Amino acid sequence: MLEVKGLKKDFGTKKVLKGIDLKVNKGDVIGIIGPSGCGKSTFLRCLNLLEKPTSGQIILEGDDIVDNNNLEKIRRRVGMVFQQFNLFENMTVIENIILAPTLLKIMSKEEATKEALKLLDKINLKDKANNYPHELSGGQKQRVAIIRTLIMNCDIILFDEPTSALDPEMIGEVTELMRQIAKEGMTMIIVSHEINFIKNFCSRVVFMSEGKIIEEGTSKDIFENPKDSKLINFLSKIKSI
Amino acid sequence: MKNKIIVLLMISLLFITGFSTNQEELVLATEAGFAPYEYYQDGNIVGVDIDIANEIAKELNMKLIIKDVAFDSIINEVKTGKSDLGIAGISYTPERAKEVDFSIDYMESRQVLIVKNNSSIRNPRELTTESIAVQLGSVADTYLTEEYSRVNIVREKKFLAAIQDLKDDKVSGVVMDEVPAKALISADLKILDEPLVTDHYGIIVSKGNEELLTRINKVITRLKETGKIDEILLKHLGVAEEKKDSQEKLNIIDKFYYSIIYDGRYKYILEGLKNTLLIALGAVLLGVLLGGVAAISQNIYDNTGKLKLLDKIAKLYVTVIRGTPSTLQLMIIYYIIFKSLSVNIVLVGILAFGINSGAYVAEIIRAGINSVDKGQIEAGYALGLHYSQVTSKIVLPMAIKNILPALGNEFITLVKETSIGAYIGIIELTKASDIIASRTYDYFFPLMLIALIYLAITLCLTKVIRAMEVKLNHARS
Repeated sequence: MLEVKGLKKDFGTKKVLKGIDLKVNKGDVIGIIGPSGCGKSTFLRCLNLLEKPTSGQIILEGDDIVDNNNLEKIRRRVGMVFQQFNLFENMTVIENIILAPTLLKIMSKEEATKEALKLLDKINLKDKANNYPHELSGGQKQRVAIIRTLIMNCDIILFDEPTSALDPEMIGEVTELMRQIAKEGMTMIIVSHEINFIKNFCSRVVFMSEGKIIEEGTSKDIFENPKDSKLINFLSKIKSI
Repeated sequence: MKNKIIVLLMISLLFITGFSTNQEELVLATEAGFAPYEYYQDGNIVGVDIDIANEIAKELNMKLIIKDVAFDSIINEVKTGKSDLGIAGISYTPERAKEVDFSIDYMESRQVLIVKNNSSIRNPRELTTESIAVQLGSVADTYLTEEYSRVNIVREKKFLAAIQDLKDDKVSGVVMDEVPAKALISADLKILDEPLVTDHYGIIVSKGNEELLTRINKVITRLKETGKIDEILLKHLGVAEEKKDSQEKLNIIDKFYYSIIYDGRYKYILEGLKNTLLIALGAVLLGVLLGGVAAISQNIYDNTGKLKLLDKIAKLYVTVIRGTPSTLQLMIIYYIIFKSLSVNIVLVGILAFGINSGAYVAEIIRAGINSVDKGQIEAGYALGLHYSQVTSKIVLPMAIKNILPALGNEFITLVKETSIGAYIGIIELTKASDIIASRTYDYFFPLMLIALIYLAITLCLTKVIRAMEVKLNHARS
């Protein structure tokens, strides 16, 4: 459903992505790992065009979206969950969730509210519907942010370090929700430093270094049978922590 | 772009249609803080020069309109045709004669030196390196600057301030016209017999206005021949002296009474307060409108690449306005843009201060927008929202929290800044206190009173802003 071909991204003279090729099938849960500054987050941000790629193709369900002028239509189909949650602080939880579907006329306000409450109920946060983000814990904020993306009925959701800003005891509630969504068949790409989560959760794992994909395979391939020396080196460093 | 032009056009039209010049009026420019030539009494501007002007108006069968502007602005008023003539104890100098035409002299003035009774200076010619106070731009100022280059000249806006400097021993003497000098000195001061220079006052009209000049000269000749001019002078000198003498023996309660209550003087303060608030409020509204357009158009260009021309205009506007003094802008708008139109000066004040404030408001709004968390903006885009939706639903509501207090501060600044409106003759608070002081020869109560009023306005506004902040913070942290 999503195919990336020769994706490059420069920031001025700095080449951050040096040609990425990746094929994503419906229902895939792909984990991206790699050292800091290898371009993981930039790659993810290119996929929903928060960064405009310098060159290359991103083909979503047969359409190349890189040169598409209707950015907004594409972004609707590619959801994104951020490290810092980025809930709109001037709105309540329920307003955060229904803002986009009602503004974009995907649903009526009543429909959206009903759907949002259903989703909030699923994550046991229905009673927080009228609270403001600053009244929530980090884990609650991130789960609301995920719901906010989910209600858009995207084809794919990108997770950019979804648990990195959380206190350790709150990581579980967020990963649990992600598992649930994956079980329902959502296609997901996850950039994370939670190696154990990636290892147990993702069907495929991609290892990036210096703007390129170095190795790609099943979770088992990557973690139990790494081939490239850079990956072996990276994994050994993580284990030593 | 189009909208902005339309707004400007509409404002201009309002001014042009509402206030066109009436041919039956004879407009006089003067500065009414120079007894006995021109000063305020019972809310009216009176004095020797005003009586002469009335004689001229009678001769021409026209209605005299008096404009009270800063002395430095009188020549400009006449030159640009905003006023028909200027009478303000203006003496002939070749520089002034290049700008305007002078009538024959109606009064001989002697520039004298006032010193303390115990001063060692006996003759103006003894002056070497002393500090001497003068009124800025007066004959004394020009004369001392040219002829006594070693004297340290202290330039005050008002004669009264110059006299105060002498009383406070900040200067060794004051040089000014003899007639007002006699009116202003108190028992501890004296006027030296020998004048520095003898000068002659004339009436100014715009260059080449022969018709008016001839008739003015005719009136002056008649007044001189009949002795009427001396009569007028003595009449006003008497008033000024009497007021001053009674002032000397007053206790503090009487002084307060004479400064604020007697002769309805508080009415100047009320008028000043009204104009100050009117201008500040009008200006802040216009400023928010202009600043909002400037800031939003820059933001639209930065984010979408649209409205390039408007963005350029907005940047130029902010740069030019913030890069020049507001006094200058006020004078440019009054003397150049509204040169030949007789407009309501309070409206000119609102327009000038509004245009000035708009540049600062634009920056306030820009800074407020920039302070919004980039992550939340990105989250909006990631959900598929458009620029306009992200701006109206996410950026602006959050930016307002930062903009509002800064806007309140801008309003507070404006309330105080309106005091420069006196340059073009707006009677706002500071000018009102000036008018009172020019009658009572006592700055203390009028200045203290308006200081308290400014302070009260500022405190009230601060309270309102704090309340708004609390409310905003309560809703969205």
